[in-house]
Amino acid sequence: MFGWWGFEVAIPDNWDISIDRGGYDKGYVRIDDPKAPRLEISWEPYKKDKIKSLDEISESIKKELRKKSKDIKFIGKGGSARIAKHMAKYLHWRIDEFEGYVVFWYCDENLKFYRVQLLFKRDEYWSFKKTILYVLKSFKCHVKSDVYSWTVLDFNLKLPKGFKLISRSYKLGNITLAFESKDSYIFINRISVADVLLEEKYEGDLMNVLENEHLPNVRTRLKISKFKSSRSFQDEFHSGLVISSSYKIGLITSKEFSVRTRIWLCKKANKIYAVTIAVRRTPESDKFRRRLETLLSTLCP
Amino acid sequence: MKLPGVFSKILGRKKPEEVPNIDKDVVLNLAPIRNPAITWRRYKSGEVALIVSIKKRGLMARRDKSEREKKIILDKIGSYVWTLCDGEHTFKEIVDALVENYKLHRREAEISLAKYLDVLSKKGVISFMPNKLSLLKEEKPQS
Repeated sequence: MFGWWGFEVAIPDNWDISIDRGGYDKGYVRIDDPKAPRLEISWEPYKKDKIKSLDEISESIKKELRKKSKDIKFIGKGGSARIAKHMAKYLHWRIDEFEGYVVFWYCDENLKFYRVQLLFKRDEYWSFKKTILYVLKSFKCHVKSDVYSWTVLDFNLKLPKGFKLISRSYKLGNITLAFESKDSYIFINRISVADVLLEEKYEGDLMNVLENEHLPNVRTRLKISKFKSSRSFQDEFHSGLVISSSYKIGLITSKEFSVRTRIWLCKKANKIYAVTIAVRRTPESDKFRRRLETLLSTLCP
Repeated sequence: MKLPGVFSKILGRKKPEEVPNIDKDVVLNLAPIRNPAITWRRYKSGEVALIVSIKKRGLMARRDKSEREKKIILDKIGSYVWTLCDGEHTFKEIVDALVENYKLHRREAEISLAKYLDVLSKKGVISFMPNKLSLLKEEKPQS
C-alpha cells in the first residue's frame, strides 16, 4: 500500500515514488516501475459552489493533452467508473506506442479533485489491464482512520492526521523526513549501507552518526544545543542509543518541548535509523509521545 | 516568460536547453567503461586509488606546462563499482549487484549509482558504451 498526504493506493511491489511536489491541499506524485513512469496522481481543493461537471473537465483534459501532443488519439468516448464510492470519468489516449488512462473525480469527503493517470506501452495493454483495475479499485482518496500512512521506497510509517510533511530529501543512501503538527515535530533519518558508513566515516560510533547525519536536520527547526541524558540498548539485531533533552521557545508565552532521540543500527537491514520526537510539555504529552513511538516502531523491518 | 528568438538574442538571454528524452531502458543497458588512460591500483583493503593527471593552474602554468598527478582514493562501495566499470556490466547489472551486496533498495541504488557515475564521467575517468563490450564486438561485421 502506498500512502501520501492522506490517500492510499495499492501498487505493485516494484513501483516506487520518484517525483513529488505540493502538500496536503494541492500536490502531485509520480510513481515509477524500474523501467518507466506508471502512475501519476494529482489533487487540488475545490469549492462546492464552483464546481465544473466531469464532462466539462473531460473536454478540458482532452484540450490540454492535444496541446501537449498533436499526435494524440482518444480511444472511444471515455466512460464512467466508481472510485472509493465516488463517481469518476475516464479517458483512454494513445500517442504512437504509448497509451494511458486518465481517471478523475471529486472526493466530497475531503473536498478535493483527484486526477490519476496510468501509463503503459501499447503492447503491454493486456498484461497491464489487471494492474489498472487493481490500482483503481484500491484507491482510497479519503481515509476514515485518524492516522495517515506515508510510504517512502520500502518503508512505511503511520502518523496522526495532524502531522504535515515539512521537508524531505532522498540523498545518497540517506532518506530524511520531517513532520510538524500543532505542537510537535518528528524527524526521521534512514541511512543505508550502515556497515560501510560506520567503518569508513564514524569509527563505529553511533553518536558520531547522530551528530553529523541526524541532528543537523533537527536543528533546522529546533535549536537544541546539548542533550541532557543518554542510555544505550541492545538486542539480537539492534543496538542503539536514546538521548533526551528539552527545548524552550518564546520569551513571554514560552513553550517547552521535551525532545527524545532514538538512534539504532539494524544489522538485519544494514541500516541506521534515527528518530527524534519533540512534543510540547503538557499533562498529556507523555501519553502522546508514547503513541507516536508505538506508531513509529514499525519503521525498522 | 518565453521570448521570441530575436528578442532573446537582443536581450542576451539564452534559450533553455532542451532535455533529451531518453528511454530508461536505454540507460539501464548502458555499460560504463574505465578510461584506459587512467592508472589505478587496488589495495589489499579493497579500496581503489585512481591516479589522475592535472594541469597546473595560475600564472606559472603558462611557463611550466608539466602536469601533476593526483591520487583519488575511492571508498569501499565506490571501489566496488569501479571494478565493475569494465564495459561488461550494464548499469542495471551494477544496480543489481549493489542491491544484493549492500541491501540497498533498488531505487536508492539507482539514484546513488547514477550520481556517482555522473561525477566519474564528468571527471573523464569513465565513459559509457551503448551496450556490453562483448555484445558490441559480436555485432561488428567481419571484414
